[in-house]
Amino acid sequence: MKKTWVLAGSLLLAGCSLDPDAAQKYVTEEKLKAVIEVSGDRIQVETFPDADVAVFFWQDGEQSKPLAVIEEAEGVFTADQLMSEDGIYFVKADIQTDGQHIMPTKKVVIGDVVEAEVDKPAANVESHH
Amino acid sequence: MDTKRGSYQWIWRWHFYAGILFAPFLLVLAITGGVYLFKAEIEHKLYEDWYDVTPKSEAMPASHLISAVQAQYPDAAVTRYRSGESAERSTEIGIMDEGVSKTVFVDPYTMQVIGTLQDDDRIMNKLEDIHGELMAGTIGDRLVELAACWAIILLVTGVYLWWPRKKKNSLSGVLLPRLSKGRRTLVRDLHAVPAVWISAGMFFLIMTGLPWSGFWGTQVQNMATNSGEGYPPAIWVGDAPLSEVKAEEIADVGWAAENLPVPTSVQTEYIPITIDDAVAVTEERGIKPGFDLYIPQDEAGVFTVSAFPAKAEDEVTMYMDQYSGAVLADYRYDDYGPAGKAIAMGITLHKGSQFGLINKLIGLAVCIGMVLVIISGLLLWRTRRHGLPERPGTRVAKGVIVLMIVLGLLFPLAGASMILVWVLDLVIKQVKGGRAA
Repeated sequence: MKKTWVLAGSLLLAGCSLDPDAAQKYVTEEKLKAVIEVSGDRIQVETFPDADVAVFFWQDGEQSKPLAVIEEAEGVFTADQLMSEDGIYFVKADIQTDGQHIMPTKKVVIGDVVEAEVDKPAANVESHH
Repeated sequence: MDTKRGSYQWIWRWHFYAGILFAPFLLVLAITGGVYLFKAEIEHKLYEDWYDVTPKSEAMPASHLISAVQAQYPDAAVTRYRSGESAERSTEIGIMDEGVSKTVFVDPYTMQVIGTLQDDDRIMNKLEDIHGELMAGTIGDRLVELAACWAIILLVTGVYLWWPRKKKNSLSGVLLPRLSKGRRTLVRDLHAVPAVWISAGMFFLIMTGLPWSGFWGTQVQNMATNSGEGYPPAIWVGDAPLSEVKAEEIADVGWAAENLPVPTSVQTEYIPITIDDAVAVTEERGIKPGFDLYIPQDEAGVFTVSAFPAKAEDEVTMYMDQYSGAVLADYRYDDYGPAGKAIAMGITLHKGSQFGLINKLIGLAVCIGMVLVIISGLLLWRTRRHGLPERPGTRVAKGVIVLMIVLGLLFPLAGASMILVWVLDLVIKQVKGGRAA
């Protein structure tokens, strides 16, 4: 009888705070990440090896176009694109696996572009399709 | 026999004081709840002109509709996007305009802004605020919770008082009111008989409403979530996950090919996905239009998809990283633990949406019954000429004490108030006793 009361009391007290790891007790999502590196005329996307990867490229204010992508190594995908002029460019990697579909987009600023243009808040509402 | 009679006196006294004290609160809950059952119908009638649109060939993407709203409210932050659940329903864009939360209704075909509503002005929001916290924030929330807990005590003590003590063949005064036995009997029967009829419904509404309460509800939700049997975290309790913010530094010389013109500087950063992509990911996951998509308001925020439609089985809570669109968590009804499922189903039944009209009508019947029972209870008090019951001379039966302790432990807020009442009662007894001596 006493034990029951102690148990009930401790349950009441233990119930106060949420366990930060509680999410592990429920359904979790597949973790899918990607790193986009831009150097010279080369675009490299590093991600999950079995993923379907498409890379899109566009200069600010222009239409996006798909680039030819090669899987150079396990999970390392590359595409070539010349960015010789100063300006703002966008590289978008569209990556799909069975459980996830991600589309990280990187803004690339080359040369001296007017500050105000660079600092423009990242567009939630821009559509580049 | 004596203790039995004493117990009856004690329980009657508890029922009496608790009833008078909490009658006004329970009356407010019953009336606001009864109206709130018909929220969907009332809001559709009230906002008809803003809800209904004429379907045309194709709806415009979210980004265009948001641009149309931003043209009218250039300084407002866009917080929410909700496409209509049917082709005839307008799109809602939630904005924060100078600290005021508003909903802008847009025709998704013509991109015309139809109307703007301040969320605080929604009459149903006000009603919900009264029902949940008497428009008094945390204090109101605790008062409602206290009233709900005491309503359980009123129910339990009430059933005890009603319980037929003599073997009777007639249902009069038990399940049927006695109409011709004088005014006092009539009022008593109009209190006890309907109360018994709706007692199961009242108990159900109280128990399904309590998980919402700030103190008891949060505790129970935390406990259920921690055990893995409740709601997954961040639906009711806990924080939403965060977007992964990647700091990017300026690469002065990151360029491999030497014979290319080397730019002076290269700066790269990940930018948030577009709202159209966020909508696309949501729909790819089989979530039907009619969901709310909350837009991140700072750099670590996430896109949140939230849908709590009429039926619990259709609920969705989903979080997306704002930079990659990666789904960080996607919780559906099937992913809730058994306790979570029970609470979720309880909520839609409490609101009357789970089974449509019949559900609402049953809820309404219980609410009307509650109003009747509260009024007849107060009338009963009047037939005593507003007199108060004396402290019974006998001791309280052990069973009653155990029952009170159990209820007090299960509902600590009510328990605390019981201790307060007990101390008050002792003090009054001392003072009175002192005077008599």
